[in-house]
Amino acid sequence: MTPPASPAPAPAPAAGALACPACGAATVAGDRFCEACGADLPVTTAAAPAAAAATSADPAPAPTPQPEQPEPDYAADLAPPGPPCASCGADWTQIQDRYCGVCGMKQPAPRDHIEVSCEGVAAVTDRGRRHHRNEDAFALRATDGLPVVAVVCDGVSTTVDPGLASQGAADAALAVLAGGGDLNAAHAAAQAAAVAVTDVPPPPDLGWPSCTFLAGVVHGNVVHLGALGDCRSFWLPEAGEAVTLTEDDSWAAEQISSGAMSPADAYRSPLAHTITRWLGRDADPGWAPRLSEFRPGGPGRLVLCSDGLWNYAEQAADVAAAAAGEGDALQVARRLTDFANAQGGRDNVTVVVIEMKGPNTMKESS
Amino acid sequence: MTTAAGFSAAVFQNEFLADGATEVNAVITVTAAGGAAAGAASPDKAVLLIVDTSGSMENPSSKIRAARRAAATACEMMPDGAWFALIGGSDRVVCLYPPSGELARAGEGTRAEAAAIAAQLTGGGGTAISTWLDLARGMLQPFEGGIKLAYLLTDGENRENENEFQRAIQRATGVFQCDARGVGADWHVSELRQITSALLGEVEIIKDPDEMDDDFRAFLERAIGKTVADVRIRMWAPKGSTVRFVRQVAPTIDDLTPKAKAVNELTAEFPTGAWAGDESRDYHVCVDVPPGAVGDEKLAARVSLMVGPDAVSQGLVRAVWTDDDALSTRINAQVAHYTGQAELAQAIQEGLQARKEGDIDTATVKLGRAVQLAAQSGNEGTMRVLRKVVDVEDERTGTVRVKRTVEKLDEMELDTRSTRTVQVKREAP
Repeated sequence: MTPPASPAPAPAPAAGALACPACGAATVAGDRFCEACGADLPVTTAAAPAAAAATSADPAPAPTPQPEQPEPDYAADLAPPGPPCASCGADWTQIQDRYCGVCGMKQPAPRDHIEVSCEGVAAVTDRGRRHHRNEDAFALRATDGLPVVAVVCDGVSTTVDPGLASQGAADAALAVLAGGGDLNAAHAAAQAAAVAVTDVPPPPDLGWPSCTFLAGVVHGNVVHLGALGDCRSFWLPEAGEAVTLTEDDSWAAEQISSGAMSPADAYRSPLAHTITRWLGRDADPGWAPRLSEFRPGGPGRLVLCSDGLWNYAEQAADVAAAAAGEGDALQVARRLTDFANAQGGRDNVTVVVIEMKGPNTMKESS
Repeated sequence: MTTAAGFSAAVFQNEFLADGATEVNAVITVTAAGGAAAGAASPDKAVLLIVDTSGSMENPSSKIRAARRAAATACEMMPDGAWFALIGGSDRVVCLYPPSGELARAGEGTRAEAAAIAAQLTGGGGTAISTWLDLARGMLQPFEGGIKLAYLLTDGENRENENEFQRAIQRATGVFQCDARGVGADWHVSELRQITSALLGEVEIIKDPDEMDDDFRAFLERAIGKTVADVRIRMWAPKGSTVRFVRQVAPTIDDLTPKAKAVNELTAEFPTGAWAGDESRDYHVCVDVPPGAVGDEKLAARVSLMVGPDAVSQGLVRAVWTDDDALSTRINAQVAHYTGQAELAQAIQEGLQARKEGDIDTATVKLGRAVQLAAQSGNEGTMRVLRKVVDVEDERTGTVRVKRTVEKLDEMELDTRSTRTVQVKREAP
């Protein structure tokens, strides 16, 4: 099996690219905005490159973009042409200030929608319908013969630059896990990355850059999960009942587990989704991810997602219903993303789907 | 966004539209910042004074005497290096100074010569304004790229074929700018407004000949202040959209929509004339765009300020579709204010027209609405003149009585004053 990485449809910028993805102008590494058109730049090289690098057929896993590779010698005046208008297809030269010069449609930011897939594994992240940016991030390693590693981080929207925190954390965790480190080490690296985003104190109405954390490692028929915050993992078996594999660090979850409120009452509260643990500079050093192990009894789909999905599918059975149907991992991940958007798309939504064959099949294939 | 040329543009709008909505409104404030624009090399400047020398100016003779003084003052104020001329107009037109009929270069000698000739103005004959405009056009046409300003003073109605008049205005359009002044009560506001609307100027009344000197002086001061020639608004709107209007809304209301010149399928330019190094004008644009889906964001208009071939500043008018009524029903204060000011001008003009036609009921409703709008927006200047035409019972509700007898001068003053707006207190864009 040689799993090809297929990021689509938003073309993922090449790691270390020096051209603005919106207008094609030359940019300086580390810039957050394009000087020419003001478009957001994929500062942390987005999820796709990390995943693309990791999903390559290279037998030695390359978990993160390799900075030591000689930098391509782009000539500033030979900036590659950008994509055509995402709405009317007008030529890229028509796009100015990120708007199409024919139909006027604002062009999507690189992170607005990213898809990555290879055989049996897919990830989709989407801005949703309401938010102006996608502050979710994922990182993925799916290389033949090696454990599948997936990380989902959800930027906390009441903080400064949550999108930087989430992408940095996801990439850092992936690097540790792909290198053989454990989930606690991955959490520590993700926490360090979220802290490293900035040391400039945030304005009074915002918090330090923060995000949630969910990492999964699938080795044969064994799933290891580490979770902090409110990203969730679900098991959707081909036969039998769907299961929620994670526990939220949220106000509602605390009320329910302490017996103070019924689940129905807790989730009706406006505080329900307030998270009680996160990554970032103001995270408590004592917070550790909840670790769990799961061995499916048969074939099915493992889902890792941000709350942009489960806001609309609180129960595992709801997720299973929304995912139900034919299709490969990418089609299922898209179906769940579309479901969240059709329900209102109130938040960024990220969905990772990993197909699992169950214990018997694994023996046959090995 | 401020540019090297010293212009900046700020956009005020509520970009949020309800699902299915198509109409996008925005107010764009364009400001020329003093130093930068003034520091650049100013283009050549030509200033024409066109003074009515028909027989009626002698009756009463206070008019021609005031015109002599005022024109002489204006000639003496001509800035060094400017090109100028003094034109006398009746049923025929004569370039009084310089006698050659070509523009004179302002200097100590030419100023004194021109002032001496201005002091000898005499009246005789009728009024054929088309000939005045044609002569001015012929003299100013060669000044490609320069600032070309004319000031036209008359005291009576134009005595010529309406078509003749219209065609002369058309010929002059785009060649030079022209302010117009009517002295006394025997001229028609609508007639001079046709000139100033096409030639990017303003029409005002000089109620008393004694005010003429100050008015000429003020014109010259404004003319001296102009430093940037031929500024245009270039507006792009997306394919499938309709530009409902582009309207200057401050300092005065002037509908630019009919002045559109197509640049390409999606872009048109609107002339705004010459600018001083420190002035600010507001524009209200209204565009119908093809509706987007909830969550979509489109550029509804790109408004650029053009000086020569260069875009010196631009503002982006956006449209964002939302299903959140709290966002889409918000009304931008600037847009609301200038929508009201435009309605105020219209209510005054329609009210005065109705009164003229003896339809007091309509006049009462329209002028009542005008009082209400003037009060709401704090347009005290217009309110002061409105009070000369109506007795106000309640400003808030617009309850008024049209006065039985109104001075014709007051009525004309209200008409000319109707397009003058006030700016609204700024909020953050």
